[in-house]
Amino acid sequence: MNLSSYEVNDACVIAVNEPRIDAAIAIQFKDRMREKTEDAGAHIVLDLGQVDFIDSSGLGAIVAAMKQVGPDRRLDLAVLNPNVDKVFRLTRMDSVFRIFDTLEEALAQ
Amino acid sequence: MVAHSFSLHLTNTPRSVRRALAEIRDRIKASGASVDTLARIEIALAEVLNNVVEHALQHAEDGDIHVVVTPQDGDWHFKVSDNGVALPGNGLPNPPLPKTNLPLADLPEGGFGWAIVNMLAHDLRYIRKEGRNVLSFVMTSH
Repeated sequence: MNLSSYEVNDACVIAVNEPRIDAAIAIQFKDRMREKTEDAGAHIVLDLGQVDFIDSSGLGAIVAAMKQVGPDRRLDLAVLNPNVDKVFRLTRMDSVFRIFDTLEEALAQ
Repeated sequence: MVAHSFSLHLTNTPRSVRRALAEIRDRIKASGASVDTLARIEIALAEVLNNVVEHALQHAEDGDIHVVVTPQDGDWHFKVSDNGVALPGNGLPNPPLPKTNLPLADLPEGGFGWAIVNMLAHDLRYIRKEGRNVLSFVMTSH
């Protein structure tokens, strides 16, 4: 489970360097997100640009990550590939997250 | 290209599901299926196989899942069987999508699987036969 993070202005970008967030790595993803977001600031952007596929376990892990971030900070999503976007729309989870087409747009918020 | 029926066996681990999905996607892709068809198939089949691994074959040491894929009139027919425990009530679950208009702490982290399958798959049928669960469904190509 490879995540990398870096600061841009006041935001923390976390890039998922994996082609899939599925049942095989959902728990690791959630744990690694906890480590990465623990000391992050108020605005966190999850860059999903390298992710081609998520299943409902992966979706649940992203929701869990947002809960870990808590109500006083924000976890936004950027660069959803078509298959990933489809799962968010099917489950109506696209209404729960702020989703941006590009990282630049997410960071401009 | 003429598409042929094919089948494969997998064991009850998430890694095995991942490998099976990749093989099935590659084979269906090679027959010229559209990107959208491939996406719907992979999303639905992932949920079906995850359900088998996480429920029917939970704790099973000799889990066997058999997937048969048959192209027919431009659609894709799937038959997934496993040697796990029967579905509760011997019937197909048809739960609603989990609610999303909830406070952050109450948002659902699971319970999407069957709802996703029901939205994407057609002619979903389930029978218990000779100690195996047999789930069949059709994925259309449009």
